[in-house]
Amino acid sequence: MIRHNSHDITEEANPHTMEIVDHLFRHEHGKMIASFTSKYGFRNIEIIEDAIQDALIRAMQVWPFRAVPDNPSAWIFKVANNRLIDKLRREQKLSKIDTIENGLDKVEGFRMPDEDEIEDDQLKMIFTCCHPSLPEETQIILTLNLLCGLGTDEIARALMKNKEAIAKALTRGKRKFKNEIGSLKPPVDKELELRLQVVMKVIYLLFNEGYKVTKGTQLMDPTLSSESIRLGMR
Amino acid sequence: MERYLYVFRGGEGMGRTPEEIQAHMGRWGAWIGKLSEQGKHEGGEPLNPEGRLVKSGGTVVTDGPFAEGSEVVGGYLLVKAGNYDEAVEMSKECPIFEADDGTVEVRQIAEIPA
Repeated sequence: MIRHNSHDITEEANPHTMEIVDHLFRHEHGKMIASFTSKYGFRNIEIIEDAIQDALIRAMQVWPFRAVPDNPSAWIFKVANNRLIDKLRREQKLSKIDTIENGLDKVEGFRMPDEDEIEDDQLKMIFTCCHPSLPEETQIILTLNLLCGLGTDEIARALMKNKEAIAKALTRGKRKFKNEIGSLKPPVDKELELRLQVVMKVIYLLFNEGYKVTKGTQLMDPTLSSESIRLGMR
Repeated sequence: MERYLYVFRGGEGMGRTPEEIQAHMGRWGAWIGKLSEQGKHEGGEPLNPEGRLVKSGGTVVTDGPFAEGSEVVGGYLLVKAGNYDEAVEMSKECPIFEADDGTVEVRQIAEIPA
């Protein structure tokens, strides 16, 4: 029997193979949060979250009827970026200058960031979430939500706290970003060293929490622990 | 075998985490995939939420036909089944029912006799 590209012939014949990497949406969510807050500013965090949500829901509605796109990441990124620009324009948070000079035009201007850029943005994101003015637990909660793509319920289960407390911490943390922290600027020198210690602690705590997490019959620990290893290695 | 149309309404706007969205999508893909494997899937497309309504003798055009979210047609599927009962049974596994307001309208295609 002739095989090519290790694809079985019968798999290709079925146009509805929904082969999607596990946790793809969660990872893409985290990457997009980092990428878009870096590009459009942390003050727009809520609009960014809405746009990403819209894109994931759109994928959910469209992909089952056709094949999964060849590059699922790029598809989601592009749809989210377009939604985001629509929303920012509607709220008049984009001036004409932004649009043309910063290449924020939907058609001409969108370029899928490469892996290195996304990693840089994710690193900036961790440092921002671990801002010293926030209580340590809030830093963890923000990291889990923004970087790891976990929802309120999932975080509540992971940290064994109640949902309302988590929701409150997220609201407060994000309000702080909107009003005070502004655009992402990584700390330097002494501040960097101190911040790095906090970051490592948060990652360590993430790793620890990973062992305690279950979601019904499905163990979430491997994901959380490997998330923290992935973050720590950068 | 006869052909039936599934018209999907509702099932939108459930606030979800990325994990839940992906899981829900997986269930849609599995359901449609199963119909495909059984040779019962004839076609189908999702619909964009925006739309127009043309009425009053073709003179009036308005944005979108709908008022309630539960009335919005999200997509359609064309399937093959032996009879209405079978078509209805097949539809019951549709993931749209995970939402309270999800509905599937089942309509038989009027075939023109040879």
